[in-house]
Amino acid sequence: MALTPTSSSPRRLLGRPEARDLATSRLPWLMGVILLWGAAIFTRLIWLQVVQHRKYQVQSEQQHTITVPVPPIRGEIRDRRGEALAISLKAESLFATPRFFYPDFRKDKGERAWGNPNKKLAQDVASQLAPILELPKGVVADRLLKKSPFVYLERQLPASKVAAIKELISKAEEEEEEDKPNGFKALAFLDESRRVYPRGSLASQIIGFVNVDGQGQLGIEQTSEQLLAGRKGEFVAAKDARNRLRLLREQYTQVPVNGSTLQLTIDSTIQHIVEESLEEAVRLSRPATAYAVVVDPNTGEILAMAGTPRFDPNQLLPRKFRYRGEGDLSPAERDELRRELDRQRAARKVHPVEDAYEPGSTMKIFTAAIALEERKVHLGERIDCMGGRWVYNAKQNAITDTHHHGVLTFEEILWQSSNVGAAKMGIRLDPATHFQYLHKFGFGEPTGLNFPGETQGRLPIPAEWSVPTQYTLSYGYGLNASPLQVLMAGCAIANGGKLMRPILVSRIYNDKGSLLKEAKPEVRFTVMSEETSALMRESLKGVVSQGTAKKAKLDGGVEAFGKTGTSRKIINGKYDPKRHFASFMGFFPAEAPQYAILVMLDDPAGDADGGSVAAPVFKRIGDAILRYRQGGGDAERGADLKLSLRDWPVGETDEAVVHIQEGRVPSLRGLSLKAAIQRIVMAGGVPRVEGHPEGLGAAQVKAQSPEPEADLKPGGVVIIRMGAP
Amino acid sequence: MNWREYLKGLDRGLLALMAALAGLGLLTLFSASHGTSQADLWVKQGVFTLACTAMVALLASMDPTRIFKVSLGLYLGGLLLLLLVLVAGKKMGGATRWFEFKGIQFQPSELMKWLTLLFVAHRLGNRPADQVGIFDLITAAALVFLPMVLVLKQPDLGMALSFTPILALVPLIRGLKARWVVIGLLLFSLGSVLAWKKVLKPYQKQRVMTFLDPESDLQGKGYQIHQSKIAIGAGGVLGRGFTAGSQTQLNFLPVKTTDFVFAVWAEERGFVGVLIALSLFGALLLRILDTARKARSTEELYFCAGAAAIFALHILVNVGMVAGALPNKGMALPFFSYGRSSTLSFMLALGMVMAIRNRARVR
Repeated sequence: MALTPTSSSPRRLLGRPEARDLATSRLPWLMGVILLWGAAIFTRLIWLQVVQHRKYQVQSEQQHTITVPVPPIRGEIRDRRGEALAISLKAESLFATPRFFYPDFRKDKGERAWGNPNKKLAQDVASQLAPILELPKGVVADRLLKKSPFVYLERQLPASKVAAIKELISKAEEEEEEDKPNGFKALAFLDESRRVYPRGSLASQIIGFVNVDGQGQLGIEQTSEQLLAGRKGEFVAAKDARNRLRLLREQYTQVPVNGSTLQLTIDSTIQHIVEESLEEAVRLSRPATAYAVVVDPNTGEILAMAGTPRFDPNQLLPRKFRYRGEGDLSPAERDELRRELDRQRAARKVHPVEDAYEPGSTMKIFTAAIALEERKVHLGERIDCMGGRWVYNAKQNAITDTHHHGVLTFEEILWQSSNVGAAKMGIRLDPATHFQYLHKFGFGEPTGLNFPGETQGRLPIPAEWSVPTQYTLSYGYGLNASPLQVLMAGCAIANGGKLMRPILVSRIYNDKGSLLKEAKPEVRFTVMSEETSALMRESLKGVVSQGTAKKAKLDGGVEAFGKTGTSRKIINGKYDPKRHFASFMGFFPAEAPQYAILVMLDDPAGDADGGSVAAPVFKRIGDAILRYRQGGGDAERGADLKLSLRDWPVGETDEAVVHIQEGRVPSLRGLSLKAAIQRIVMAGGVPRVEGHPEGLGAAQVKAQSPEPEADLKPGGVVIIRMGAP
Repeated sequence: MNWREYLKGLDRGLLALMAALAGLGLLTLFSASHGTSQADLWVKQGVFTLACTAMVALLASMDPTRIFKVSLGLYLGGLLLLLLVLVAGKKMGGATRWFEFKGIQFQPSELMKWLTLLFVAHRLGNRPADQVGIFDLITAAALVFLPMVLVLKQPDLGMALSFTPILALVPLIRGLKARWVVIGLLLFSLGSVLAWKKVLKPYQKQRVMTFLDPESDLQGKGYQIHQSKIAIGAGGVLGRGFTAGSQTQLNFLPVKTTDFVFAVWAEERGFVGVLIALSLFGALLLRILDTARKARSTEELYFCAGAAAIFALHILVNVGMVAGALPNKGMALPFFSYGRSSTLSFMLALGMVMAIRNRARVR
């Protein structure tokens, strides 16, 4: 080991050692320093790897695992024959992490210190994104610099824009340099779903709509939110340093459950008929609003329910108003926006269940039915109507009729709608009995429909009755009720005496297509005997054939019965003689009614009585329904919904992206309904579906308008006609 | 001399240590580049290491005296390259350190520290120690400082620091007195203040600050050390398994094929792996120092001592940095960090050590 000094190198006298000896003796010093240093680092490694191992393991886990939420797909809403009224399509939303643009950002004990932003970087990103998002550059930059952990840049983007932005991101990643931050790293996409209403404004008040967060806001979308929304799933995945997911396998910590599909009792064809008829009525009579309900009197199923004006849930706010503050608008535009919002507020009101009104003459049929059931009156009984004016009590206002009727039979009182006659029948009843019956007819009680904003009306209890109450109740004043309540009560007369619970959602299917729940017809009360019901039906035929509602007579000799109603509106606490609710409630076919229709015009101009303005609407609706039924519209209940659910071609919708160009009408022939709708939406259009195919599962697009390759304005309507392949 | 003669120069002990370390290094590189666009990095490094081994054999069979004789020329040539790289080098990431020829990069500073060691060892060791005056020591220091300044110009602080072990030769030659130590420390602190004020670039200051408080800047420069510490700590005693380190495989670990390659090894092989690697490095250093003791001439002794110091500095600074105990300096870890220039330089240096050992053995 030791180095022997060579003899040729003599030691100096002063005892200074020779260079190599000195070096050799000092080598251990070098080793010592290295060893000491090495030992320090070794200790450090033991500290990190042995002592603090757990801490770092946890940190590592935390930064490389991410809990990925899996949004459920919202359930569909379909009509009674399985036609889609609301469906959900996959859409991606673009969001940003603004913290990225704040180089001095730090988080101290939960508090965020933002520091100065790197404005140039944000503006650079914004200027590239703005043309794709079709937003002003400033708006995008502002959003990127918002002092929030997370900000949406644009929600529910069409696939073409998503592709364009992903292109930008990957380009920026390629050109990335070490010292230059890449602002596109702040961007990411989030899977969301986008609600589409294939039939546009059809039944929009019943269906409702969802807000941008996907929550139901009105109608069924709101009431059945829990069912439709489904349950969010979650899985834990590995992500890399660039926040990209490395999916090894989908390990669900919570399995997502897609929303249930609701099948409504609504028949979209009848709904369409009703909506068209109402618009026609609005053109002719100029009421404030017109609405109508069609119910199957035997089951209580609501076949159609509509009111004017309508709205299209696909386009709640015109595009030009989106993302613009009140301040950015010109005065004219501000007015336009306000009008639009007012109009929408009006359109979102579901009058048939939300409005309470005094039923007026319609009420007489219930008075008559109760009196008949209680044997207080019999068919053909002659009642003196006092020449149209009856002072029953000196202190009260006289009861008057529009015509000066003398002595009328029981039937004639109904046909001519005599207030005096009705009051005389009413007061023959014991007040408690009278109230009991009205209660059984459903007045003053919720119908059981559970629709948002539904009114239960008001029926005073006998203890609250004053001297004239029983008189006025007999001809429809002194109580109020929603049109649906009145119609359900009318159905009890039409169906043999049973008050049915109205049904709007008939079946609920889970996301696998199996039936979860079916609404069975439910009798709330048996109000009267079959005989009384039959006698009433017979008597009321005369209202249409020779009474106040001659204009309700249906084509083709189909007999109907019903009752007009004209009630004065209370304006500023007083009955206004010029302003009315004009209504007609009718049933057909008379022998075994299948359809109960209530038409209501709120404050029509000109001729204001139900017989002249509401009865013709009933006729229009009734005739159209009859034509539709005779023309082969399938009367069969519960079409093959399960099949059609399974047949939605999900794969077909996913690969569609490639050939779709925004602003150009896509080619749709031969596609399934869902695929066609997805393509139209991707191209920036609004789909409208026509045609009512049998067995929707196999239906294909048969025709489209405009033709493929035509220019498509944003929001432009593309009509597709479905048919059997 | 036939080819057998060439092989005779190879020292079995050093060769075995080199092979073992290179093997570990290649495994680590394989894992670090696994699944990335540079998945063939370990193949490149392996082939290059084999090629270098041939040059090591050639060098080991040569007479060290012949090499020391041309050391002046080599030193001057190296200086010329350092000057040239400042003019004609390729600028990458704000620094001009590399020549590029047909896509192959070469970093002259890596080789230059060994050429400087060679020449300084030669100048101080080729005559009796009593003839080495204070003037010679100053000249020697100047010979080291000259390339250091050129390297700082690039700028490359880490590389410049790796020249300093050569200066450790001076106390080896003359016993350092206490007052010199005091003066030296004073000068060092004065120099540090001056360096902080005048010489250090903002990014270097940032590194020092980051070192002092790494958690303060987790998304910026402190990120690298922070992630490296997590990787090492998460490795634990037994490691997470080959190609199974999440810090490495999910790209949280920065520059994982070069500066931070040791963190890959530490994460996936754990403390046991670290123990093996550091033991091999320790054995390598002992072997070099043993060669120093056996050296036949003073210049050979100086070279070996300097070589041991340079290797030690690289290993200790790199591992210390990766473990978060030293500032982020960008110093390559021999046999682990990917890089042709550094691999070539480290291996040629070991070739020279082998040549010295061979001569000591033969005589």
